[in-house]
Amino acid sequence: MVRVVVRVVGHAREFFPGGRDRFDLEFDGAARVADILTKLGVGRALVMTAVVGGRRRDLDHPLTDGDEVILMTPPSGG
Amino acid sequence: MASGKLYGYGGRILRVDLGTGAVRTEPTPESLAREYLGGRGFVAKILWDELPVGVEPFSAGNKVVIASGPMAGLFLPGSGKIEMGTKSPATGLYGEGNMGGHLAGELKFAGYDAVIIEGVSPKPCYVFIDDDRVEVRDASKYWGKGCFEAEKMLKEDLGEDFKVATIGPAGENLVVYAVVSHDFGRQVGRTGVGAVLGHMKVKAIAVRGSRGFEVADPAGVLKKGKEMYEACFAKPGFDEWTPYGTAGVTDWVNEICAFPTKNFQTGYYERHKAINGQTLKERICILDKGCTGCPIPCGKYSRFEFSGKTYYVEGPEYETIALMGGNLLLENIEDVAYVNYVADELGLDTISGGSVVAFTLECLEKGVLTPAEVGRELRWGDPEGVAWLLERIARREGIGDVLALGVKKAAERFGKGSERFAMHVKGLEVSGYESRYAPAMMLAYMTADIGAHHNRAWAITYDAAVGQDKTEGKAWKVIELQHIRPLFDALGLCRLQWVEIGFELSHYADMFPLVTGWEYSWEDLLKISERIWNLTRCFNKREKPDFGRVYDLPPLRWMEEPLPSGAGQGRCMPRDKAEKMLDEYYSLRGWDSNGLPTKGKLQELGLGFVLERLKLES
Amino acid sequence: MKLAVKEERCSGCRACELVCSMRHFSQPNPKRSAVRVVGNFPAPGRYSLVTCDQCGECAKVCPAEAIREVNGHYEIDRDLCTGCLLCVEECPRGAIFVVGEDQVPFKCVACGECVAYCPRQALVDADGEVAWAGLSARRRAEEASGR
Repeated sequence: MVRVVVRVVGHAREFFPGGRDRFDLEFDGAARVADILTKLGVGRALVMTAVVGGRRRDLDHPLTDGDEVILMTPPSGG
Repeated sequence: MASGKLYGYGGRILRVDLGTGAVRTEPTPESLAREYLGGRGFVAKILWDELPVGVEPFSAGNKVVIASGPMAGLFLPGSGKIEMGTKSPATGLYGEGNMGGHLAGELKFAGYDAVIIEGVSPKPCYVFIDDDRVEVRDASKYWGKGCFEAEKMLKEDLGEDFKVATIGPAGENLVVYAVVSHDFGRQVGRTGVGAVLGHMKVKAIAVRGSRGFEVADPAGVLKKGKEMYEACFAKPGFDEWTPYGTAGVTDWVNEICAFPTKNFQTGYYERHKAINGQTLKERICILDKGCTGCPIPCGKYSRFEFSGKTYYVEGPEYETIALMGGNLLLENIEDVAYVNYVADELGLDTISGGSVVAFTLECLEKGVLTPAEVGRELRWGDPEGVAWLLERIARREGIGDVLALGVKKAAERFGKGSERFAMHVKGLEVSGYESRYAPAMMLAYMTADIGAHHNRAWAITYDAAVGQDKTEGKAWKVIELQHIRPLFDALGLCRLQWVEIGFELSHYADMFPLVTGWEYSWEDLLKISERIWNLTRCFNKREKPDFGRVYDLPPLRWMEEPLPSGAGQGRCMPRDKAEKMLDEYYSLRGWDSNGLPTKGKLQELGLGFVLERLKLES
Repeated sequence: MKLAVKEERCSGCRACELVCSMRHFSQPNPKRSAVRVVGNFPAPGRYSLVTCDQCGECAKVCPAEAIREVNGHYEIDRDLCTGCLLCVEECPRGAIFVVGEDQVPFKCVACGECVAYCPRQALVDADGEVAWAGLSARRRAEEASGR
């Protein structure tokens, strides 16, 4: 069982379920950051990068029970 | 017009007549403030009211309006934005640019909400504002200097606490995409406001204010301000976003095939990682630099070496990485920073400037121009060649004289099919999003009031969310963004707290009555934004009798040339599809089929006076 | 509260100047702030801060004995001040100010607001009594989300 807290940051937050910026998710067995997007029904195109444990990781990074994952969606450029 | 006590405002409008050197102040009209708020609202209404119809941008009849807003200069996140507008020499239409820094607040601290600069000065001058003391002063010692050099000199002469805005040689020489520069790295970039000031012979504006201004409920504003900062501090993105600033979006834009590459020939640049936010941060950034009140400073002040010399520049931020990096195939961040520095000191827009250089390189590639005509062998990816061309443009030398007019007019002069790759809408060069695989973003570019600029509606995430091929059903989103985003430009606020870290819009709605004492809801404010949107549309119609749908079409490259590669391969926006998007857009806006506001829409928005003006002149 | 600075963290936003003037003069006005931000541009490209370190020189030079020590910081008594402005001249850090038509200068009274609200934590309390407002804000946000 892998439980993670997911926070969403940036302009595309509004396209996540309910426009929420925090989700508590559970996965049976091994999971990657990309699986969070599948569970939330959000396209990979909307997420630029993930920050896990204070470090930037790509979407294939494996999740550990208790991780806090920040999904960075695109900022607006200048 | 009645002028009651205005809370949240500096209280006066300053009028500077350069012909006579006379300076007048008038109280800020309450009706103007209530109906148009400030910033872009003041710019639009004053230009509508005061510019003679059909005035030439480079004539004594044009004006520059500089306007702060009721939420600028406050203890709240992102209260540092100022607008400057004029009739644009680039487009012949409504021109307006926005910048951060510290001028918006300082103008109000001196007791002013706006400055209207009119006429032409016989000699180079600068406008000196020190609370009530306002003078038009001789600027001969600063004329000819770069933007940063002139700002530094003025601060040394007047005091470091003066907030200074300058034009550079590009503005002095009427390059139609010349900027107004401020705070060593912020610019009013688009539509050539710097060129109009250059024509007026205004080198700079220097402001110091010590009066402060009053808010309706000081204890409430302080308490709410603290709440707003605490809300920002607690956002998950607060620590993550700042290090890269806007440059942080570079990789993502490449992934969705929207990165301007080689004059918008494609949407993906293989070397994007060498010029992205992470590289900027790791290699050259020395300071996170911010505007008034900002908790997430987007400015990336950098120090770097180029050809054995050390340079300082604020940037490059995303737009410059796009239009001067990918668009010119520059290979590393130092090269992009160098051309950024050159453009900034010369005082020309990195977006339009980057587009003009790319256009020139493609003209050479396709034989529209020869190296002899250009004056030098130029190639993609060569920062020194770029710098050379920018200098020629700023000094109006050789080919630079035509290129100083922008890609639309340059293509008209050069012919030979070059209009097919002149990347502009309405005469304003497209900014940082290749949009053949992003129809909502393309519609945003087509319908922005000043021409192809993204600040009105950054719709590209909507494309990513609902599908990058879908062209129908997107107009509503573009319209929604075109009301929300420019509202910030009328209030004197920065959008990035909301856009980047999810700071809730309701905070601004709660703060507004505490500042002004006016019980406006967020919907009331959005209505004013819609009013301003329709007013600038009518201004364009007034200035160009044939204004309408045909001005809203995308660049020919986007209509005729499918993307040759990448995730968006094969996509483009044929004219009939573009027109269908416009049909949907006009209909939702309450505009007629030619894209002009209907009588009913104008009356609904309190713009009945427009009807009378347009009727009189038609 | 002992104000200390980490200048390299300053972004030049002036939130400190605005919270100070709002708190003590009920108006946004950096010229009525007891802390000041100074830019050093184009080179070296950083900000400096003018702050009071409560050294007490002002109290020593005041001919009217209008500046007194209160809880480790120095305050100007508006009723006793004669407006001679000697303290403004003598302050070794240039951290006493007078504005416009005012008779009485003002200075930092160690209220701690700038420490609490500097978004960059460039102003800190060396005594550790006043904390950055973000710390409690983040704790409250955690509690609210039920963690």
